Amino acid sequence: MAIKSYDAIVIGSGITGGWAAKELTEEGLDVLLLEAGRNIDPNQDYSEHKMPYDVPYRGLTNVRFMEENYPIQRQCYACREYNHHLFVNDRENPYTTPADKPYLFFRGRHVGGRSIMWGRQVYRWSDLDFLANEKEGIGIPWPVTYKQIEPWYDHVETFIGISGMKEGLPHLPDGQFLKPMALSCGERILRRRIAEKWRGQRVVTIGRTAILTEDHKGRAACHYCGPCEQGCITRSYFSTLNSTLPAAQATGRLTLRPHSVVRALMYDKDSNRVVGAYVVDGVTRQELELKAKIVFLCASTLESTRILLNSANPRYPNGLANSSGVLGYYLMDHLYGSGASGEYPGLEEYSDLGRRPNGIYIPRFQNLRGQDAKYLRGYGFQGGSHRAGHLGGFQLPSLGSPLPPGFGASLKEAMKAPGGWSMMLAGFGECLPDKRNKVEINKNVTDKWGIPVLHITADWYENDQAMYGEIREVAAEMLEAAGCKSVRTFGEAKPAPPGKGIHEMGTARMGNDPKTSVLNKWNQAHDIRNLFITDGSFMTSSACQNPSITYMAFTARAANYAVEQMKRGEL
Amino acid sequence: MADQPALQNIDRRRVLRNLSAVWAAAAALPSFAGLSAEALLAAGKSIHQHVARKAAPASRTLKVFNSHQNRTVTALCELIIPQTTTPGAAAARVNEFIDIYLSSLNPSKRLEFLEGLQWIDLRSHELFKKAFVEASAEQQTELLTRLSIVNSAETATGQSFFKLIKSLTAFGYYTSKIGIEEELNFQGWVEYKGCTHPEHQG
Repeated sequence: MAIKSYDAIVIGSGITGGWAAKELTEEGLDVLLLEAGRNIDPNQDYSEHKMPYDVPYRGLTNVRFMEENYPIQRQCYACREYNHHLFVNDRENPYTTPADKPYLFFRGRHVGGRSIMWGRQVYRWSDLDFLANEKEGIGIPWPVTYKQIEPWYDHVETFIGISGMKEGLPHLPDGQFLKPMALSCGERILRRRIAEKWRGQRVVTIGRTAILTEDHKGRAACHYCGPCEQGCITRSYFSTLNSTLPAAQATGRLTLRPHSVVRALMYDKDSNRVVGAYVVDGVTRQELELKAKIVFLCASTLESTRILLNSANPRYPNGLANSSGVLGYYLMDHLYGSGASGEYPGLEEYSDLGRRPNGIYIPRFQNLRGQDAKYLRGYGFQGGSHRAGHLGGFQLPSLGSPLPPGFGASLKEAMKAPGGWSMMLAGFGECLPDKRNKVEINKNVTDKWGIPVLHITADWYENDQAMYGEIREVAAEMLEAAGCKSVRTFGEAKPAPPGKGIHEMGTARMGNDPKTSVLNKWNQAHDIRNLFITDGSFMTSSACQNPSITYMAFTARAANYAVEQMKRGEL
Repeated sequence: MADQPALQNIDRRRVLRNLSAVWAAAAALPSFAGLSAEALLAAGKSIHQHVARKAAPASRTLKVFNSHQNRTVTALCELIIPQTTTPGAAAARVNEFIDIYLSSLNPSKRLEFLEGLQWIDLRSHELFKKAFVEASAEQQTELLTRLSIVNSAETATGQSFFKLIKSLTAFGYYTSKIGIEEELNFQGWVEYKGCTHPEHQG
């Protein structure tokens, strides 16, 4: 049977694959969207409204089952008893690392990918970020400036709906915001005191988040049930399923194929083009050859690079589109795991009702004008201030949290009383691109589908360590300035293993020079004109902001560029 | 009573009708003579809960506890979170939660709990010459009091077991349907309004 050839194959249906599919279909292309995992049925797979008593272990998970099947994934804050089926089974999806350098690779393989479980924080980059490598003399320069990306930030933000507060900061540009979520009492006081003490040099703002605070394009405003990572039946936060996939499907030009594990890309040496993908059917294990005029690799930072490395051929012996030799190198994540928390007395008469799935943000304030810190680049803080306890808004108790003394009726009565206010700040630091952080193919280990896996080598270095230590002290300093008591720092020893920030970036970086980069400024492979990579692999530096909105903007831009080029007959 | 609103009389009649229907199930009922309508309603509610427990499907098969351990755990949980105006830990079947929770742990962690449970019986024998479940309510309360007071003279095993079962009981109770709906009176999600107080504004 002849299989239809498509205008474009998009590999991966997560945050960037959904965007590529939407833009390409809306511009008139017939698109085949390949997803390695299964389909998702929101009615069955979403669990955000499940109560603890609706799951056997009340949210604590079956520890032994998780240790056996999800030993890596269970270390992700978002992987819970309610939604572990949205994370990969680690036994089916292995990878290897050096024994002394653990790496945490958190993955979802299903339609929508990690857009279903993502953290939803969205911060634009500015030229402080796009000029990072030039200024510091590290890595290679970015081939783009903020002005070139700005309209694409507008484009994606307008479509997906993000909420936030305008602050007018040049280094963290305002976006197309719906009304901001509210600050709690503690957060408002923190905002004021930090502004006073540091004379506006440090700013506390509400998290900018891809959650609707108003009805938007057929999706409902958030109703504050809380655990977004478990799905959203009202489609209030952005995910592929909630937003871009329906738009792509509405064009009538999208073919979605789940259970399609891409082993490698098909390459035609005569034309030096990719012509499709070798796909292992996830259910039948049958190998298919699916063809298209252009390919968008959106399989996620490390999976896209894995596909290219597994696509090596005589023309590109070190991996497809890898004449530069940098494919697989310069892996980055955000420095994560240190900060401070404390009690916040004096607000006992104020309540804090509802479960706001968002925190506060303190944009980077180090090294903004020249070098004023003992390390390069900088970090921002995320955190929040809330009142503990069961007060109306209903917070789930956690096992092992402090309890009132004694037992019996007096304990039961005391448990009804709301707890105290507290405050927490955790840093997210910029990671420098470093050639020592890399991925290769481990030919000796294959996944469930017989495909060789990645060997990941990543660690933190001097700059990261220096920044990590300071984050704790500065967090504590700000909490004390705000009036917190019993302030304690966390993340005392080494930073969490790379990957724990779940902001893996790089390994197929973009740049102007084909000798030192895989992609050009349009996310197009220097070597192979009809191949685009728009997931986090393209990142040339990491900044310190959550990266997904930037991936979306670059994906939309690349897709529109690709269509233009096709129309001109250039592709 | 003559000026009671009609609705309340209907409610009371309904309660009485229900009470008579479940009379056989409720063994040791107090006399209803002379009770106010409110007290009757409260009694009725309590009986409904009693009947609901009786009528509920048979307990889940236990994975870890034998029947003696189960009775001991049930008694301990109910002492920690007892029935008051709302049902307690026994009605919320916290013992079953602890059982399934323990079943998911590695054997060494599970043993820690079971050894603590055994300690309770040993200590009860020392103090009262009988197993914990056979001891009187006062004796049971006395043992838990010895374990829970500041500067307890009991062994580290006993004290840490008490902390563990108290923590599991509280977690199990406040994550149960009874704990969330009846005790915490959860009414559904509320919109997050945040701070609207001028005194917190700059």
